[in-house]
Amino acid sequence: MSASASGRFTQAERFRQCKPGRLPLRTNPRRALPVGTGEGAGKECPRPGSIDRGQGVVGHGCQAVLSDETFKQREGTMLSKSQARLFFLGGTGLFGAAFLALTVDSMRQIPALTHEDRLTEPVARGKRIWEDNNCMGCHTLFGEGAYYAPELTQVVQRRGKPWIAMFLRDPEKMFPGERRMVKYDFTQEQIGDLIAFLEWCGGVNLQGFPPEPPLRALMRPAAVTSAGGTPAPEIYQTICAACHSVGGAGGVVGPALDEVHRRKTREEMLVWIEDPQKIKPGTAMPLIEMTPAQREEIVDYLLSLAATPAPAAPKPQTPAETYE
Amino acid sequence: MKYRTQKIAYWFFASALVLLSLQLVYGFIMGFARVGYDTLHPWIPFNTARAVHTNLLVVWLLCGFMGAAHFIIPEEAERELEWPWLAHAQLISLLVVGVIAIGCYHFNIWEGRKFLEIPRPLDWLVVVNVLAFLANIGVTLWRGTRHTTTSLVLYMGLLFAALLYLPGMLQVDNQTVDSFYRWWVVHLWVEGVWELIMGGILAYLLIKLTGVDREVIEKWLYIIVGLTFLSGILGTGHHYYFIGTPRYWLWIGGIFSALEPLAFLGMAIFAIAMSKKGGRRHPNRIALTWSLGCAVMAFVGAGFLGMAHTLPSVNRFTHGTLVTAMHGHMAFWGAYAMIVLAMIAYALPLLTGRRLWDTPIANWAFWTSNIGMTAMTGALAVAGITQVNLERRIGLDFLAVQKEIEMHFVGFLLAAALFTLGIALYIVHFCRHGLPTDEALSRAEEDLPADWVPVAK
Ligand code: HEM
Ligand code: HEM
Ligand SMILES: [Fe+2]
Repeated sequence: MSASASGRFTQAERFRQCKPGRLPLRTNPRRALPVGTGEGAGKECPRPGSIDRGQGVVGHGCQAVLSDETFKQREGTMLSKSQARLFFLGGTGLFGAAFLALTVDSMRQIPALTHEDRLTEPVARGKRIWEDNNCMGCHTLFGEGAYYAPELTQVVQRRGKPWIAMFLRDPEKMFPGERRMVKYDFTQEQIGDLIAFLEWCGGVNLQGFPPEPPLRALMRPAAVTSAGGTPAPEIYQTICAACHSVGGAGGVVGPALDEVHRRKTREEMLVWIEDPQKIKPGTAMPLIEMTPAQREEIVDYLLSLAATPAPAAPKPQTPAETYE
Repeated sequence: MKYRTQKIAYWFFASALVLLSLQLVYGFIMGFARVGYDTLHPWIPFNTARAVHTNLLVVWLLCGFMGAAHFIIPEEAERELEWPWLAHAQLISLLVVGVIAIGCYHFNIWEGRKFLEIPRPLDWLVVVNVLAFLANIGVTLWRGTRHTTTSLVLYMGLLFAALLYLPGMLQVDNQTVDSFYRWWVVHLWVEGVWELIMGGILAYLLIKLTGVDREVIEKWLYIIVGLTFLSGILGTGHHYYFIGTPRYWLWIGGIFSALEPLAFLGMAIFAIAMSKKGGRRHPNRIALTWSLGCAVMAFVGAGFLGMAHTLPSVNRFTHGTLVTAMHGHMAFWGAYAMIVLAMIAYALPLLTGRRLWDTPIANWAFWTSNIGMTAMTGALAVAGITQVNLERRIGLDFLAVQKEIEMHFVGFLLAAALFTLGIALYIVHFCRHGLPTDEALSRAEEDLPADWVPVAK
């Protein structure tokens, strides 16, 4: 004990000394403090009498002495430090090797799982555009990314190419007043590349992700699903259905169109679709570029709904706005 | 503080706290955007705010780890840091690179891969920077008189963190392969080598704060980092379920990632057991509070909340929803933010010579920030579970569901305000210590006040 001669202890020793006035708390050797080979080793406890050297009992929190042998004996009975080190190195080596082997095998299988033969030049360019603009900073792809904007893995399969191309040209126009997306000034070619990339992503075998919603079937009243009339034209399915519903199926941004034939004549519908903003400035519906023939097709379809009885079930959701 | 060069740690700690504050600002920008106030959208769209938020998180944690290393390594190796000037240069260049990267994000310049957004040329600067750090610390350790397990584990953690950054720089055309190696960085960092860093720092703090013998603590340190790698390496598979990789990852990832909480559980039991064994006799009780809090919150955030969504049958529905964000917040906070804050709380009185341990402000900082973070996690959990049920189970439209859960983000923001108050108090506590000084140098093992008498409590 270096400083005890002078009657004072250094700060460090003070920290290690026995609690004054306290008797040994634990006299059970198994529970006693196993200390002594480290920092406090070799120092004597300033409170003689409180230590049972024979059994190595340091019962009152004293950090001072415990012979190396006693210490090793006590701590070594269960597991020694070198055994612990072996566990660490062995486990890491073994499972690290297994991981590398599985990585090699994954790299072998990924080309087939991802249909790498379809990974064309536009797809690769699309991926770079995706990264250069950090689309993942809002969206998820394969479920990875941010949670601010929709999952895009199967967006091409869900929305169709024309809708996406139109949307990318001016996102806010398609969802006015909603959460905003950056308006990028993509060229036509860049949009094509992005769509190629997303289409390729949609074809990757994701082992069942995203899952088919298990409760969807329970939530839809059976009657509503049978929308009548002639089959909807493609342009309707890819663009209009994103916001409007017929027979309960479709978007909820605009009103349901099941009974639009009662409210509007053929001519009114045609003018409205041509430029909604002109008829009702500020409406949520954007101007959608279409050929006159496509407009005719859509209106024909909507009028054909008159032939089917209106669905009996309640409308699924209240529309955000009506155009009346 | 025994060595002059340990003072450098202070500047790393101070920088870490500045970056943390900035991180919170960008968190609020995103939080407000989510409740409809996205007025900053033209200048700071969500993806910019997010990249800044998460990158600042990583940089301030690394800064904190480096500070911890600059404090711990000289003391463990029993010598001064090899090149003090290099440490200063390295900190400054790290900050400069960080600020440039964050600036770039505001001008749509990045490499949009989650958590690794830093533009490619800056990646190389980061590599050089980290090499300089590792060389400095490594040579100090090498030439030192003592090679302790604690310092080796800490050094190994830092070294492997640097090595694992490299696969993240691989450039490929296949999105699946890209993702595959991105996880070598992101997952093998937080659920692998960073746990070594955390374990090393925690072991050091427990040795100092509880007085339990080094041999005992270091033995358990080996067991814990052993468990980490045993489960965490193949546990990477929990990110390979649904990204276009072979099906066997579903069960390999599931089984091994389900074992990952063991390491965190071990860490919590270890910390509590050691503090019981040694008794809470060290006067810097707030540092011990942070250390124990860290071990416990890491188990809750990473172990428990990680386990909650790691099995493939659950993850199929929660993958890529706010449930992930819920877990991400508490895990990063508990495991890594808290270990850095614990280290700062321990080192600060020793660096500055001011013994402001256990002040009311320090205690309020601990409790306010932890209650705030717990409430934030709760709000994200409610939002996340609702999202999973409405969007993934019932199949409602994404944006319609987001509208429904908007109100939970009001709660989230209130909780975040409480959390921020806690961090502000911590920073006040930090500033009250003043600057590091050579007067704090002491050969004593512990800088305890001369009149200190252990309180029997
Ligand atoms: C301190 C340690 C940990 C931290 C900091 C952490 C952090 C994170 C973060 C930030 C993510 C989001 C990653 C992304 O989507 O890019 C994530 C995902 C995940 N974590 Fe952890 N984590 C930790 C430990 C764990 C543990 C121990 C488990 C399992 C028991 C776990 C299970 C998961 C799972 C399953 C995901 C994927 C979620 C999804 O599919 O969207 N984590 N973690
Ligand atoms: C004022 C406090 C904070 C606020 C308001 C906040 C807000 C947010 C928001 C809104 C997101 C984006 C989630 C999304 O994609 O929609 C986010 C992401 C994230 N934040 Fe925070 N945050 C705060 C503090 C923190 C702290 C202290 C940490 C770490 C200790 C942290 C770690 C993260 C991580 C890791 C992510 C990415 C999560 C993931 O991708 O799953 N945040 N934060
Ligand atoms: Fe992980």
